[in-house]
Amino acid sequence: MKKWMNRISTLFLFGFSVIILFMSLKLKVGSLNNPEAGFAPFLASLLLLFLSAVILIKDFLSFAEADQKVPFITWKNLMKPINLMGALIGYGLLFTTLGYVTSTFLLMLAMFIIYESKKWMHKIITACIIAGISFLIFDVWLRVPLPKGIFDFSSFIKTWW
Amino acid sequence: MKTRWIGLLALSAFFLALNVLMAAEPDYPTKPIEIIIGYAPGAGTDLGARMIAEYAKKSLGQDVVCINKAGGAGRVAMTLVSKAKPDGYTLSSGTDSSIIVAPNLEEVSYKPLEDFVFMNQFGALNFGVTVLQDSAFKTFKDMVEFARANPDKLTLGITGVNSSEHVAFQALALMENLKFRFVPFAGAAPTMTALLGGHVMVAIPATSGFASHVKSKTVRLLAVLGETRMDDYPDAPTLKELGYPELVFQSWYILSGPKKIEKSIVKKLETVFSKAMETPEFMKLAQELQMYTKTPLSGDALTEGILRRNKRNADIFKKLGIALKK
Amino acid sequence: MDVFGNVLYGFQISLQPINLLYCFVGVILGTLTGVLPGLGPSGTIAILLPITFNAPAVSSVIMLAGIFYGAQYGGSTTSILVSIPGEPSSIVTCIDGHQMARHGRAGPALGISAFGSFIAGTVGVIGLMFVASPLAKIALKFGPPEYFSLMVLGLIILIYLTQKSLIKAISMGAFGLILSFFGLDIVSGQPRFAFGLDELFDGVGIVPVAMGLFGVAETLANLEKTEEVKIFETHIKGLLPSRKDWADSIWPLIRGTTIGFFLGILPGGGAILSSFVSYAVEKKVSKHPERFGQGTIEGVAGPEAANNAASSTGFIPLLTLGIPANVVLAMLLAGLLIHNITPGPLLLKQHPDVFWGVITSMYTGNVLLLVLNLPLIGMWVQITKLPYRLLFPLIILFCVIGVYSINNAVFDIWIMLIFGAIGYFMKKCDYEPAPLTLAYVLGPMMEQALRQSLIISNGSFSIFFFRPISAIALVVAVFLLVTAFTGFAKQKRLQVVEGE
Repeated sequence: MKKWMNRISTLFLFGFSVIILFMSLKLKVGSLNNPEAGFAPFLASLLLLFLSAVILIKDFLSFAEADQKVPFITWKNLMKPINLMGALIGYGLLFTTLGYVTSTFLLMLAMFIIYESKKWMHKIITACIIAGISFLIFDVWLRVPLPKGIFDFSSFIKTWW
Repeated sequence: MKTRWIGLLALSAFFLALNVLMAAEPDYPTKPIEIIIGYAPGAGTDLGARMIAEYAKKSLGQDVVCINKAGGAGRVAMTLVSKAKPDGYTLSSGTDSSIIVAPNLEEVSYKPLEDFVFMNQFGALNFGVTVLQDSAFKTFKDMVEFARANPDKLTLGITGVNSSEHVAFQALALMENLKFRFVPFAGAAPTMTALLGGHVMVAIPATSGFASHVKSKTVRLLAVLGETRMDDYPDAPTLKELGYPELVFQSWYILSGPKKIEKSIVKKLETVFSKAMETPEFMKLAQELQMYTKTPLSGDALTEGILRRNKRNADIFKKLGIALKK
Repeated sequence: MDVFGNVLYGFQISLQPINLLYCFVGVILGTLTGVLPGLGPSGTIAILLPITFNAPAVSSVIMLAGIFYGAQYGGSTTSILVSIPGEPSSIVTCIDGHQMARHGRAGPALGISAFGSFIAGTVGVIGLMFVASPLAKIALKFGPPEYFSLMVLGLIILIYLTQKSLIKAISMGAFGLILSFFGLDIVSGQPRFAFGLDELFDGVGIVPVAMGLFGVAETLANLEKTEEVKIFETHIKGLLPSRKDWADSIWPLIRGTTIGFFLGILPGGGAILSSFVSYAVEKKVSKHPERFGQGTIEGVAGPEAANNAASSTGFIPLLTLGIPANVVLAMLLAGLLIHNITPGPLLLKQHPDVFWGVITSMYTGNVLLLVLNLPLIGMWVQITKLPYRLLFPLIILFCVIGVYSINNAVFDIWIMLIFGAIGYFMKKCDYEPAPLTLAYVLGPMMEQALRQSLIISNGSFSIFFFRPISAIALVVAVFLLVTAFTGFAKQKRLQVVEGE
């Protein structure tokens, strides 16, 4: 498993360097005495290309499989990071529409659920508390501009204050 | 168990509904106004806007929040504001280079002259041609003569590619048939550092960059790029005086908003902002940051000024051959 | 010049209750902004500037300065506890500092970091007093060619940061370089690799990248491990550095302070560069370099001292020449200007109260910070005891807010997530994030310097070799490069021998 992961990630680097290489050529590389916009990216991507190729070759040539004392991926737990990413992506999408407080509440809830199943009320209440307190710290106290969304809690608080 | 759930949901629904309802009210402004600043904190556009915001908050009765969205020399902010709802709650603070310089040179994601209503000019940035105190160039002419005698030797530090001063000197090079070597830096501070270390022969920063150095006499001004001589530096001639009337380059700090904001709201904002600029605190700030302008324009006068300058720039760029092919 | 008379004069000012108060507020805010990832000192200062309009000049500057060096103290806290750099200059601390925390040694790590920062900060201030002027003049001599060579040296140093495969580390460096080239090109003014997106006009930004690579990726990896692997060893081994810790750290502290002291004067990247250089130096001179990366205290003491010394000397160009070394000091400059104080050679003559008041306040500031931070260590260590199911959501939340608060752009959150995913895979495949981050920081400066130098010299490369400072830096760089390869070759040979 590790071998394949290694190869895929090295391939990613290789592919990335190829893309950048071509884009740098479009930007005009210029010469050593007169570098243009594409000069440095060209060299850097060339380096990356070369190195990732070397890694790939070394990998294919080596026959010994490193012994795994710790399993490479714990399949059982793989859903957890995937779910976290999913939750974060959802958060990013909803952040501005729902506003900070609501989306943070939902995100906290999601993260608690991901990690382990405990009592529902516990999770909801902790999520509320964290969303609320962090809001107070960041928006009200530190005056960090956070999106209001359709549920405008800050003016709500300000009028009640 | 079920009743607890229903109760919780009902309570939350109640509070949420209360929130949404509380927004409804008549007169502008009924909720906080956002000014999007196109530069990083500390820049003139940032500090000036924040000062104005403080004042506006008091007279409008609503919070005026400043948010920085730096990027692309103001372009990111302008793009955002051009697409914002024209209800008067989203405005922008920036320099007019994103209107009269950048769009003439490259593609931008907004229509500079059609997407905005220009409200107030709150500052003007002047540029100066500086050399070290002991430099061989005693006057501007000396520098020009040197460049003529030694083509492609004069190193000029500029604060950014196609910045106002860069454009000015490109035009100068064209007019006088000279070849300069422009060394770009990321802003006024590094440009001045390079000059002080003797790494470039001339530097052309904005006043914020050279003010303290001229005062402490480590640096001399050969010329300024404004319309008239600057009060603080009466000995420095303008390029206009030196025989280049077209080379008047200044950066204006402007407050603008998306085009279709209702006229009455625009008028209200313009008045409030103008008053803000007349407060002693603002004037002091503007003086210190060297962005003070005696006759700030607003409304139609401002728009007309911007259009005029835009046309001038477009012409120059065409002559220089760097204009964007539309 | 009667330095001691001036110092006494300065203390008269800085020890006034009102100024002590401002100093206190400043350092607290600074620590806070340092601790909270992403929420940098510049944002805080921007918000506070209007408040300073009405306050007396000296007091405001004292407070703003306090925010700046306070942030250096706070930045290491999150690096050690959760491997998220609170400040770019604390990235290196994540490497060994966090490992120490995992072994239950968060206390000593935080402790040596606090003490080291104090010592270094104090030395830095002393330096400010005596050698500010001459040092500033030397700093001016660093033009584009010198910067280029220095950056090359810095990049070579990143090779020393690797624990595992050298070739993978270099490729991470190359990757970081490429990423750093995204954005507006300084010489041509063209946007590069923006893929048509306005938001990518200025590149990807170090904070989202660092948060993603260090924070999000780490969390993803931790979630995926089996539950039996404890994240933190719960038996806390002491709250303060032990005798042995002190003995081990004394030389790294001294070296780190010296490195930071000199590198801090250079505008742009002083603190970050000095922390990396210090780490590399410590690793090179250590008798057991292979222990670096597992939690050696030298890997924390050196860099932390370096970045604090650098933040003290970073004031030199500002106060003596009026040139701010970075964004935060630029804000300080604005603050000074607002109060009609023009920093530069005239500052000493016209406003000696400001000059000496601020410098002496830095002493008090350092003391206050030490006093503040030491008791907090106990509290911070408790955080490592929090159950992970509560800890990781908080970490994620901090990352998100930190990233969002820079430019109020959800786009930055996306960048963080993308790099979180990338970082996760990198971790799995033994690619390290530190070389990438260092290259990302140094890349733009190096490229700029290269192109500026070539414009100045009209295309001639000799400019790098005929100027003494630049030549020295390049020679050292080549030397390090060669020794790195021979060192690794020897190591490889030894490994092969042992393996058979």
